[in-house]
Amino acid sequence: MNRVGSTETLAALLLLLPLLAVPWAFKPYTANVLAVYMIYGILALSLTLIWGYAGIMSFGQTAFFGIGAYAYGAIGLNLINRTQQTHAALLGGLAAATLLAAIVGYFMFYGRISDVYASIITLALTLVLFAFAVSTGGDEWVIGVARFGGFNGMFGQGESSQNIANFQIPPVTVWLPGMAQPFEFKINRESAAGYFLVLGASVLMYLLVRWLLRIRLGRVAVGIRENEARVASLGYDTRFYKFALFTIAGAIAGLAGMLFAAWGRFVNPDRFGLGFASSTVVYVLLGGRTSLLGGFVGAVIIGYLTSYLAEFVPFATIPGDVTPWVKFLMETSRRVVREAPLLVQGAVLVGIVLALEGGVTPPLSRLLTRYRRWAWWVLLPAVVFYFAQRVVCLQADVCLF
Amino acid sequence: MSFDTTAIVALEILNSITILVLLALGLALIFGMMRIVNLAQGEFFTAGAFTVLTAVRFAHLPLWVGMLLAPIVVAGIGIAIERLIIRRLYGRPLDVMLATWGVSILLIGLITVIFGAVTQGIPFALGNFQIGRYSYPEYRIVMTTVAAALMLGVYLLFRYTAFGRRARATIANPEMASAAGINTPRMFMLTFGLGAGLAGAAGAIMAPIVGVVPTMGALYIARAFITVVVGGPVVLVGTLSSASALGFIEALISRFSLFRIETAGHCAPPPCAISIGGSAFFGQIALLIFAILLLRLLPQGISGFWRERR
Repeated sequence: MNRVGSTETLAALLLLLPLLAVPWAFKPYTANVLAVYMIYGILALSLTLIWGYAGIMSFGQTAFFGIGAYAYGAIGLNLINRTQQTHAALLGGLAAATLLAAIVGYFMFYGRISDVYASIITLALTLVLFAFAVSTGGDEWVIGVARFGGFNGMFGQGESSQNIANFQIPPVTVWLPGMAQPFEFKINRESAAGYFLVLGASVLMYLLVRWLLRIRLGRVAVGIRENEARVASLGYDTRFYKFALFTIAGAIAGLAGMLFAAWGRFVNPDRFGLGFASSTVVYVLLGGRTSLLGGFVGAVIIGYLTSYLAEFVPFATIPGDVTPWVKFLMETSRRVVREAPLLVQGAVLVGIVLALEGGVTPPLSRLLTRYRRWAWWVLLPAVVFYFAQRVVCLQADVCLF
Repeated sequence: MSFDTTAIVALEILNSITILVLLALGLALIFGMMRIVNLAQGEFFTAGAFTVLTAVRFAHLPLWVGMLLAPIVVAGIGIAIERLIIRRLYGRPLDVMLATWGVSILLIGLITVIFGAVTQGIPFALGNFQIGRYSYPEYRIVMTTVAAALMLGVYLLFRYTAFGRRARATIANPEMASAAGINTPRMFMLTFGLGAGLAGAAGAIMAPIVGVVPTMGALYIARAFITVVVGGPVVLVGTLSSASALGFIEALISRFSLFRIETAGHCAPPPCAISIGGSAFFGQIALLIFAILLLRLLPQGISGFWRERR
């Protein structure tokens, strides 16, 4: 076993063993939260592919994510009651995101506009889609039974006996020939199938991107990132390679979007918003833009940080007898914490660009390589032991910690 | 089409062009002169609007004083950001873009912390005038005048003053300019401050006709960037020509309904139909699509195309 191979195996074990054990080791809430972080991680992975390796900064991955989610929702809502499965919705969502990415990619790369312009066009695309999704609140914005719903997000609207009934976007539902009844991928007390679906998709997408970077497509893309003119002078049609990679990245983002719509059974215009677009970039930057795991790492760090800050309310009650200045300070700190997600994102963006260009994953993996032996004999057993005792704890109520 | 309809459509086109020029001028200056994609420009716009709000609501100054203060305050903010952050990143265009995005998010957060996430209006006293059957706000004419004055001012500044000559020399060849005794970092700083100040002025002028809210910059930044990209490398000519082309399309599509699509659903009254065109939102969509098509034909933007032809 060579050095790199052994570190990679180690990292895979350190990540996958705990992730596989989560549904038994923690309450469904944890699996639910981790699933959405992994979905964001897949989205970030698509940005890593197009930005870290092809050198095209796309603010528009969230546009493809949102399109995938809306298309899945619209088709799923219309077909779930007729066919009891969402096969067509999955295909349709993927097709919609891929098609949009292909169209935008064609115009950008075959128009030979520069990389900075490409970033701006993708940003504009996202913002216009946001404006679109917001303006669809009216009764006339429906596809079959699926209502766009404007700010409120997409839901189904069917007529029951007397009045109009609303229903939610279906979870991923599979009904293959030979199955007695349809199978729903949900995350709740009884089932963690939805969690494993997302985990499987994450692993699959990770392997897909890794493979893409090994074949000619990815190697030429890296060449384009380093020196486009030189690659072009070697006879490669750089427009095609950029276009192809952009389309694939769009499809991956669309897949993440479908998983999101099926996970939350909900999608609203926020998916096209500036906040979501920026948090995706922050995930990638924080995790490391040339590390395929970086997006996942960034999503988990930012996710836990913001959800921790969201629960934290300083000075919930301000006593009446304090001086105006103290009261002002207390109120200000409360407001600062309320806006913490934004402030953290902004600070991370500026800070990483100025100080830590590679993100946190490369230093982490260097540490792991350096202390490989310790990790094998101490860290891995410790992690396994911790999760084993969590499983026992949840089943038998014997908690050590 | 009768005379008054024609006149009102012409005025609406003029208004669209005015708004695009106001939004894009500062951005085009920073992008054209410094090759910096400043994603914080939308928040400079917001900061301008909030300066007016603060002046009118809290300091009880007249509206015009607030509007004069706004560009100065925002130029100060811009200069501070240039000194603290952007200065360290010259020559790394992508990192500048990301850092300014971070600044943009931080500014939204800070403005929300100070003013709260509510939409506030600024009262003003101008009325409407009458054209045939239509009435039209007088304030829009004021806006057009101010936009024209700002463009003229920028032109005169860069064409005829010592500052303008030095700035242009710095842009054309920083090393040579530095060797000739021009303080180039100072020139970059002032150009950035000027671009920020123009965005502040735009925010101040538009504040009375839009809702003032911390996230307002994001609503306009997309259109501003599209205008700059379509305009191409020559700042003033590019901005004016692309604002004219895009504003024309936007105003027409916003005004006229092209066709209607019948949909299912539960509308009251019953026939459910989506009208394509005829609302501000479809104007924006048309603007984006038109811009993408235009860039497919003219990748260097309008002014880049003409410069190559010459």
